[in-house]
Amino acid sequence: MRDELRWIMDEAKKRGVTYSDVRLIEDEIETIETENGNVQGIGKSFSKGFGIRVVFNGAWGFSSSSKVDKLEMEKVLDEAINIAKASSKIKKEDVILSDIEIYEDEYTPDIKIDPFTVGLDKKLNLLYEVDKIMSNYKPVKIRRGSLYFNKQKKYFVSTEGSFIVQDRIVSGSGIEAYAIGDTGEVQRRSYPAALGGDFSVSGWEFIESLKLIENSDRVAKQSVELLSAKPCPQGYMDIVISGDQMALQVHESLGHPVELDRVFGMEASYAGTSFLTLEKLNNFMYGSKKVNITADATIPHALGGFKYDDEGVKAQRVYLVKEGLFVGYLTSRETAHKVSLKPMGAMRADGWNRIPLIRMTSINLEPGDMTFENLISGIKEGIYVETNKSWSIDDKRLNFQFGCEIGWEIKDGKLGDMIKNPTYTGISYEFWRSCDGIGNKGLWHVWGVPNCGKGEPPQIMQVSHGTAPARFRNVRVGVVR
Amino acid sequence: MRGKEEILNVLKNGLKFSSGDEIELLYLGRESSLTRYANSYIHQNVKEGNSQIRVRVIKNKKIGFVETNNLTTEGIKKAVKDAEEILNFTKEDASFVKLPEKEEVKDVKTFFDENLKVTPSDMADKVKNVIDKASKKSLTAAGALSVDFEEYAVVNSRGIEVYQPYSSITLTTVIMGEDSSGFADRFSMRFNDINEIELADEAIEKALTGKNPKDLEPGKYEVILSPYAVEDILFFFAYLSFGAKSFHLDTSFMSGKLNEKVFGENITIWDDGYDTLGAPISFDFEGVPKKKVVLIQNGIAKNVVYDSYHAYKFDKENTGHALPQPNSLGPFALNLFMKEGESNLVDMIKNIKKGIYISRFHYTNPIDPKRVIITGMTRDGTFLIEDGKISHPVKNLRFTQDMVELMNNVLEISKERKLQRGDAHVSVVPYIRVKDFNFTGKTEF
Repeated sequence: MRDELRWIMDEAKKRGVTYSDVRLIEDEIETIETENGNVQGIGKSFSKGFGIRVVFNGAWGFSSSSKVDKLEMEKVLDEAINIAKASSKIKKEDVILSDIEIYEDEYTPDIKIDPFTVGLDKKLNLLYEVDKIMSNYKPVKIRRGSLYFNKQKKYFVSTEGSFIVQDRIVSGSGIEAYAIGDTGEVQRRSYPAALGGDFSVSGWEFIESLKLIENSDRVAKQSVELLSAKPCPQGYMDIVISGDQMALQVHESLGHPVELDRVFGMEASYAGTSFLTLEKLNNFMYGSKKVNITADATIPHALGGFKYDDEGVKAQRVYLVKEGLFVGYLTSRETAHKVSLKPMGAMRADGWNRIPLIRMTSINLEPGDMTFENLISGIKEGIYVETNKSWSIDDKRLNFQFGCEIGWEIKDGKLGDMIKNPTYTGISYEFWRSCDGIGNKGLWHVWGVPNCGKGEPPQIMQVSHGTAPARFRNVRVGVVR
Repeated sequence: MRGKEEILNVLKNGLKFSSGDEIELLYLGRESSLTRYANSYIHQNVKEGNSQIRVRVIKNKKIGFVETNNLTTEGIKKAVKDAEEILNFTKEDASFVKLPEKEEVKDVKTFFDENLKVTPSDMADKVKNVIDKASKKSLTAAGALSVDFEEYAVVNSRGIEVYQPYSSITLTTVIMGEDSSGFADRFSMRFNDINEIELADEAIEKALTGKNPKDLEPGKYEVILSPYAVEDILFFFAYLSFGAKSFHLDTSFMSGKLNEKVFGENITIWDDGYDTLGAPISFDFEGVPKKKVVLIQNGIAKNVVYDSYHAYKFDKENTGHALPQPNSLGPFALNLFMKEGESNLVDMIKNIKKGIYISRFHYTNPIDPKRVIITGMTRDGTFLIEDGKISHPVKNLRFTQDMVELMNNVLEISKERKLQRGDAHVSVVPYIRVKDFNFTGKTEF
């Protein structure tokens, strides 16, 4: 296959492309879901195919196929060129890519236990055990557990000479308990995070580290307790936000708005644009001086990590926000060239049949110096919230509103009664400017988010966020209908 | 496009590899070309094709699934064997009864050959027409034009053997000025039916009238919701409420409320996969023909939709609403219709003393799934109405709204309805005028 990939790039050069690359991907996925002690689904999927991207006549073209042979590669290459010709009918300027270092490399992440070698019985028994524990609570009417494993081999070859082979294994899991009260009220608790749980570029050892069984009782119990909990208070008050919810906060209010293609309007017709426009770079206080945010694809095991992106750019760690100042974007080779920046390696495609887009890698709120007790003790009246339940943000990423699964009152520096349906809302930069405390390294965790959506056709990307609990002042909470 | 004969032969051949009690093979094939534009030029232009087979094998009420895009005989044989291997480890599902039986599937035309002749150049020309119209008004255009061909086929060991090809064209645009924007989209099964000029005019008109938006304080307002926004609401009812799974799990607002009044008397909603006013599809992902299901009739909750698993489990009629299995969502209403009223947009505006016209919602999400309380933003044209006239554009607002309550607050429904494609479904929806719509925040643009 390696010879064929080099050959098709030679063919691309012969046809006069300015640039071309080919990605060939083999994917194997195993998903296991249980519901109320039954198997909801055990699925395995296998996918293989390739996609060819070209710049021809100064414009982009892309085509792909699941049929992997030389004849099909030639056909797909010609389709991509034909599409680029059509693109060039409506272009403003020629596509120019930033220069990059060219690599020939093979990469295999450090995996201890290949999850595909672990027996299905062991995997199911883990979820059955969790279910059994949660079933001890009668109001918990829906109990769910899931496991996800992905094994991938990806080849990236370009007309510039890149030849990169990357292996990747991802493991993830999550559990949920839904308690339903006598009046029909439904309350959910999830662990280790909402939206499927936590995910990592790791093997079965990651699943064991999640301690699902040890947390099942608490999760089920809290879902029941929420039925009789107080409603969230309403008004402006101080708030401490858990690490898992901070992951989504970083994702929506900073991760997406620093995507440089979004800033240039390339997502305008779908999810929108960004308030972090070019003149704000190095000239806009995004948050308080406590706020440092990085894009770091080099963190070992981070779901948003890799060795090379899908343009062959080596993984990097860069600052996006430094001591509150907005200092960086996520870039591609094309967008970096437009603003004379060095590409930082954020081009990623969710499969062989899709073009790479600028995507988050691991976008991290760097740890502060506070213990959890420090964060809480600094509040006279406020709330502490955990685990995402809903999210929404406007199409320039300014006005956001999040709902969480659970919260607690904070009174005179101490956690008080449990509260249900907590929500908080704000304007992104005003909110981050009110941050006056971030948890220390011991509280910091890299959360794997497997389902970031972007683009047309929609692409689902695996990203991650290193976060710790953080404190914000005078935030509007308890928005209700 | 592989065609009916080839696909059914591949699937039927797969039946032979199983030693289980029952087997089902679902074929999902797709070829898609998408031309995407922004800042008035084409910035992405892609083509993709993929075909997958999903195998479901059952033995002693144990179920195994495997999906593959290796459609060779060896690939399918491996998929069936891998699915059977899963049976060695899984528990029996006591609620599973059997795969669906064969039923007569009526023909409905969903594929038009003319679309196969559409070239990347044709697509670029259509996009150029939108861009040129915007440029003449000193506006910029963004959007996407997709030409999709799909093939679905299901074969199972109980005799189901169905195939349907599908063609669909979707054109969207957001036309932008310095501080305003307008949206429009069109969906059809035929490329030549997409009128890009009319689409551009609609979005340009919004972008021009939306200039210089003013601040407006949130609160409760009477609103007019465009079909784009109404489709968004119907999607959440389909996702959260109208399926048998959520209904029987007691997580739907309709749970325990069949034959009770849940919406205003002027609201009737149904699902009909055969109605050619929508985007018809003759069978579901288990090969069961679509049945028309009245979900809400004159405000009264009447039915929810079923797939084979839930129909057999709860002794109900299978309405043909299965998604590809396995699926945690359960059965899903993908072809929704909301009954038209007698009104029109002009009269609706005239009937408002003070209110807001909402062109479109953005990033909607449930904060209470059971009660269908949704938060989201307005986008691409929000206008204040005063004394029966559009007064001026306003900056976008956040809403947090109980959608069941909203369906009890509908004052007027338009006769005009629009065929509207959502992320996973297609709806035919009108304009509606609603009282007491709850805005809870605002933004800077």
